[in-house]
Amino acid sequence: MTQAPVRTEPKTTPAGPYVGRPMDRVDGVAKTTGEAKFSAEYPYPDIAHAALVHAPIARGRITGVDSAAALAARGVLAVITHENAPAMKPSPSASMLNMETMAVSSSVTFLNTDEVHWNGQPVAIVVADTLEGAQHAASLVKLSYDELPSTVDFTAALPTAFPQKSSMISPGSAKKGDAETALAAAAVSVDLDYTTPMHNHNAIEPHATTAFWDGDKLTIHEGTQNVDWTRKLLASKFDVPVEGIRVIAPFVGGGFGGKAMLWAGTILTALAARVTGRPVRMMLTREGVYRTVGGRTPSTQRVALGADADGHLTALIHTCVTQIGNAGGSAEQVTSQSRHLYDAANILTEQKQVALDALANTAMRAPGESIGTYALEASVDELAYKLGVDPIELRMRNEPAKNPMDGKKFSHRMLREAYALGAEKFDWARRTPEPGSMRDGKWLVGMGVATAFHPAWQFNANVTVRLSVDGGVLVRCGFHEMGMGGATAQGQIAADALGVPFESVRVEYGDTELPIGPGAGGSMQTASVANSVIAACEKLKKSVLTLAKKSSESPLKGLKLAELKARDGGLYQSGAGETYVSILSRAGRPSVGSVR
Amino acid sequence: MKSFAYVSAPDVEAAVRAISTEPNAKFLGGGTNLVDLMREEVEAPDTIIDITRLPLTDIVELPDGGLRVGALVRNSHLAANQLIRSRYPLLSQAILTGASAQLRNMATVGGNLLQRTRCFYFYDSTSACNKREPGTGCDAIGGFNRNHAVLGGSASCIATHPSDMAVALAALDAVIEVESVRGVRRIPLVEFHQLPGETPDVETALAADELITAVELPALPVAATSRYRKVRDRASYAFALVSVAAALEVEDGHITAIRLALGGVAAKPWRAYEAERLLQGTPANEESFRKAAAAELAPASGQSQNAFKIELAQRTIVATLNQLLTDGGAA
Repeated sequence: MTQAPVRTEPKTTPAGPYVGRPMDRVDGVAKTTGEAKFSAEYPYPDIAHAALVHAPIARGRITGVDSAAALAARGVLAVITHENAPAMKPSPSASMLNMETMAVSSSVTFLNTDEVHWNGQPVAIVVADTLEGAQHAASLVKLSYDELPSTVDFTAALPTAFPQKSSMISPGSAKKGDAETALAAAAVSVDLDYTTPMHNHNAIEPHATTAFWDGDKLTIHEGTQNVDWTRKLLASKFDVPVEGIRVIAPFVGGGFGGKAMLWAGTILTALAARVTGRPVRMMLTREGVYRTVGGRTPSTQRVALGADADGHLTALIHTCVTQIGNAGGSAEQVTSQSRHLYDAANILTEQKQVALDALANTAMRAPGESIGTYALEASVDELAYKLGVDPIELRMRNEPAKNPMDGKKFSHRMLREAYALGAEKFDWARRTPEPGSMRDGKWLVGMGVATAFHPAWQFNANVTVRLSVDGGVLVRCGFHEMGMGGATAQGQIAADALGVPFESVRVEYGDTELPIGPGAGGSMQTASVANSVIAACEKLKKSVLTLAKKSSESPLKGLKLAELKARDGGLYQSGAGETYVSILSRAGRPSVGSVR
Repeated sequence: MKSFAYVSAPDVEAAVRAISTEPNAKFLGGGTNLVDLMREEVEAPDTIIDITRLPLTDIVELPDGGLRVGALVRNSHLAANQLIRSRYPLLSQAILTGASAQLRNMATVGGNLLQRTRCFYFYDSTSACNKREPGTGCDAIGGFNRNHAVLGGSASCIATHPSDMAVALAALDAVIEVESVRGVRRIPLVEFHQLPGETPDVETALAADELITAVELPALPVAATSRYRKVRDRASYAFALVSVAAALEVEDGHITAIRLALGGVAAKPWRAYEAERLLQGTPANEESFRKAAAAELAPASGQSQNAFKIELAQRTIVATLNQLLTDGGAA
């Protein structure tokens, strides 16, 4: 086999605007060549490796620990259990005043309690000189348990379901009119049950942590979707100053919500490093991810739709039951989209939960919305079939002018246009709904339609932008890169805002040493950071203009920023203007910065 | 993974000598199953004897038209071999339905025969499993047993053998050649794998000190018209719920030769002798196929989640034979 040629010519990008244009990713080469370092890849000369021991029972108490065989195994440095672990602070309860409490995944005080709350809960962490040594020694730790009765069967527990509390992002239930009565009186109706299974997180990079302490200062390489919340929760857990904790995560190998919270593995790796005084690394095994990191809740759902003979909805009912753990878990907004999608005269949504002796559920790819929209949209199709109406036409007929629940205006919707455009692109007119009636060569094919939306959230993003006399631009923000191309996107934004070449912009991210950025979740990171980058660039241009005007030589004398266009590395009004480099050189300034 | 000693054997003699002196040793071929099992500590050998350098990588034509396949021939090479593809197409097909291209590139013929069940409880050290730890019980009975056996199981174990290749070999009357310091012996493939009975931990007729050196395929003209059909939960990279290896020869509307074996239904590749006996000489039609399939599965019994396999196996037999009848063998 011959080796593929290495590209040696420098890549040059034509001048901006860059946003909206396909670009090579700034981290593309680093990722494809293996240069990009993930959390378990930071070398430390005296690094030790850790492995977890999991409880094999769903509920009970640990009655005994026998670590002798594990401690006698080759290269073992420590076996840490609830019998010898230093005390840590319990995790804080969720509060809107401290946003990082949103990232508490469990109320269990790992290794500070003899209680077991789910099958898989970590009950010991073993540290050894080698990964294999740690994993083998973990298998030698023998614990005995006093097993207590447990509830682990979602389906069997359904009769115990209780109403879900409203969360900050979604009300638990909603009601308009009398949907049940309207359903009973409807000319045409469907009343359907759906179930969805639990989904486990399977990021290509399993959860990984490398941690070392210097006194009360902790440096931690952590595959996380939120470096800031990780830092704050660890500071609280270990009762040390938050300023002393540095969380580094320039590359995260996929998150999908599974790395949005602080899970046991991270806490215990930091603990193991504190106990042994060594840098400690732990990457969860796949089994370890399944047993210590939550997944998407299973669900049972009912969707009932009632319509008049023309297909106008008179009733929309969407109820669900999902699962949380008795020691952790979060509400999922399964029925949230049903409150906004269709113009039904009567609407009832209801969300319930059962609590099991099971691992906490957690966010995964549009938590709640994805499984809820599936049930709603499948039901709309069922209704279309029953009415004999085209599924797009049925959706068009029920497209609301205002929010169906409260009559508020939509800021942005355009769903009719989307249906029409989609129908045109797919050549929807050729669709024949009978099963097996459409072919593409030897393949049977089908065409379908479904609707989904996602709220356009924004969080705070602190950003600094610094322009240097050499023309370089440095954007700094502690945001996260887990595969979506964050650094490239913010580089495009900054280059366009300042009118500089894309190659002159450097973006630093994924580090708590940087200005605090938003977490990567809820599809809001790029928009949140971009907003601040644009605002910081505006302030920067203003500062540069002020600086330019200090000199009588500047062609910008007497002009306002609003009259200028940022392009070609400077500020211009039609042909007249000046480059940033020229302004900074003349003023003798190495750089100009701005903060947002 | 437990620490282990590693030795590399330069030839067969050294390999069998090493295994006869090391008390808890395992041969390492492709390692596609053994290494996984060692990571899970289901297998915990003290010594690994690397046999990948042994000269057992040839496929040789025998005087009678059969083939002798070295135990270290990679699965991908065996499937691609022209003689295999023309004389025993079902074997090539069976191998290509198994695992992934990467695994087939590593896996050896001998190792494929010795791979162990993928029963979840066998892999999970916190579960009861008589195969992994005799006397602890069987959590698959009454547990998640969709993939488990409907033929030849026992109250001790209902695991299935995972190999596709071995199902084809069972249909082809293959013979396994094994060697130890005590000499060479030959074991018909259908006698190689064992049903669980009271001792599910005993899986094959191979003694602890024996090494598989070759698989011999006898000349078998009927095999030229043959197919392997595998039914599974997804189209790729999944073990069989049910598979059928079949070879059929028909003259004047009557069956003159037939070979039939089932996979995914038992702890061993299941040669369907009863169905073969009923079909030999009978009119080649769906009614005959149906009767024979029903007779073969008559002793089957389902578990809580896998009773569907009994019907599925019969339908797959009928469908495969029908296909052989109408379309001939696999290309």
